[in-house]
This record gives sequence, C-alpha cells and structure tokens, in this order.
Amino acid sequence: MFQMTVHNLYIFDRNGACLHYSEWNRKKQAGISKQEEFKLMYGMLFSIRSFVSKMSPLDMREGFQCFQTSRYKLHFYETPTGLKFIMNTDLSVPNARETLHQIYSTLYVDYIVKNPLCSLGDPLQSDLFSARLDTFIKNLPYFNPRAA
Amino acid sequence: MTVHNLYIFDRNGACLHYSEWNRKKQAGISKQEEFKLMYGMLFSIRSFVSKMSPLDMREGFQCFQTSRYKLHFYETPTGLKFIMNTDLSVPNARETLHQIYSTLYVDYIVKNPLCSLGDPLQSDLFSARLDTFIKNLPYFNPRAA
Repeated sequence: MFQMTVHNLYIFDRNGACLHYSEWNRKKQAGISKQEEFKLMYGMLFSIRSFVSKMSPLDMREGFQCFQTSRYKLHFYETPTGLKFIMNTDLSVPNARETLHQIYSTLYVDYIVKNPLCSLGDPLQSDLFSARLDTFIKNLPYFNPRAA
Repeated sequence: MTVHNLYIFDRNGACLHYSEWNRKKQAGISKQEEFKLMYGMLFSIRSFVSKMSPLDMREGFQCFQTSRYKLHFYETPTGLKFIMNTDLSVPNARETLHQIYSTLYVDYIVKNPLCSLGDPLQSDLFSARLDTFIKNLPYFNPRAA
C-alpha cells in the first residue's frame, strides 16, 4: 500500500530560471549539483512538451500534464504567464494540476507578485512564501511525511 | 474510449511494427523520422526519469498523459519496447502490452521460422491477430475521440 506523499516542488519562470525549490521527502539525490539539476529538469520538460505535441494523435488542447513510473509521479502545470510548477508525488495522486494552480493563485500571487520587495525573475527570497508553501503542502490530504 | 496507435521497437531502436486505428493528426514528418523521434525521446525520458527520481526506482517510466491522450510504455526483459497511445480513460496498459508481447509476438513472430529477429515484422497473421486483439479490448471504440 503506498503512503501518500509529496516529494519535492520546483518553480521556474518563463526563461528557465529556477525561482524556488523545496523538498519534503526525497530519498535519492540526482548525483549532480542543484544548478545542473534545475537545468536538466527545465530542459527535459521543454523537450517532453514539444515531443508530446508533435506525436499527438489528436489536436492538443493543453499539452503535457504528468508522467508516472512504478514509484513516483511528476505533475506539470504552466500558468498563462509562463511560470512552470513541477511537483513529484507518490502514485496515489491522480492529477495535481488543481493543487499547483492553487499554489500559484493563492501563494505565489499573494506573497510574491504583490510583494514590492520581490523582483520578478529573481529567485524567490520571501520567507513568508516558503513558510506558507510548506504549510500548504503539509496540509494536503495526500501528504504524509513518514511515507515512501 | 480508444486506442490511437501502437509502436514496437527492438532493443537497437529499429521499429519492428507500427499500426494506427484512430489517429486524427499526423506528426508532420516522415514515418522514419517519426520512429527515430519516438525511440530517441523515450530513451531520453527514461534516463531522465531515473536520474530525477526522489526514490530508488524499481521499474522506471510507465506512461505520461496530456489533456487529450496517454502514452503507455512497456519494455520486455529482452529489450523489446511497446508504445501505445490511448485516450485518457485507460489507467495503465502495461498488462495489455505484456499480453501483446507474450501471446501475439512470442507466438507469431518468435516461434515463426520465417521471421528473423531484428527485421520489421512481416507476418500478416501477426498484424491480423494484433488488429483483432486491439479491437476486442474493453476500451476500444473505433468511432471515438
């Protein structure tokens, strides 16, 4: 039986700069520096999205949403302004788009966009944002810190 | 509910078989280019998925989904790769792909003395049986999507 959990979360701006990264339950690191990991994550998802559209047997509406393996699931959500949210969870989470959209519309917009001290494009340096994000994730119905 | 298409690749990346049942949009490139792109991209995706995994992996990449279709991937122990695009109602087609391998591929190709492993599959019997198998799947509807 899988324990429900969120492993980690990346936020990228439309240029590929990683604005934020948090992890809650990650048992294995990528074996490369964090900078390299962010570039790989962004670049690979860029390629996946392009491939998914090209190979689609139907006209696409919104594009790539998630992939899953035998042990985890990666969810992807892009806002109309090009901000990209990527979250790894366990397999019990069907589709985290709504969650990622909430993170954008309630946390990012409120604590970053509306914050005069935060310049768009810089890594997010708001402790309030990080704290609220942490609380939000831990309150998700599918989050269990001792899982996986 | 529907199955759009199915690719079978051998362990070297050669496309052994391709069938489509319900494809409304082509890729805009030749079939040869499309096969290379499919194999190459899935190779990269599988490598990426393992590297970025927050946990130790058991079996690796299985499927991805978009707002309109889902791609399922299954690799046999001998390195044969099955890729099937379906609509979103199919949760996980691994079992189906494994059946295609173990009942159709093994019976009509591996056990066929006229078929050399590594060549594109030229058995009409295989193609016909595969077509029947797909059309009998509970989630196949030819007028769908």
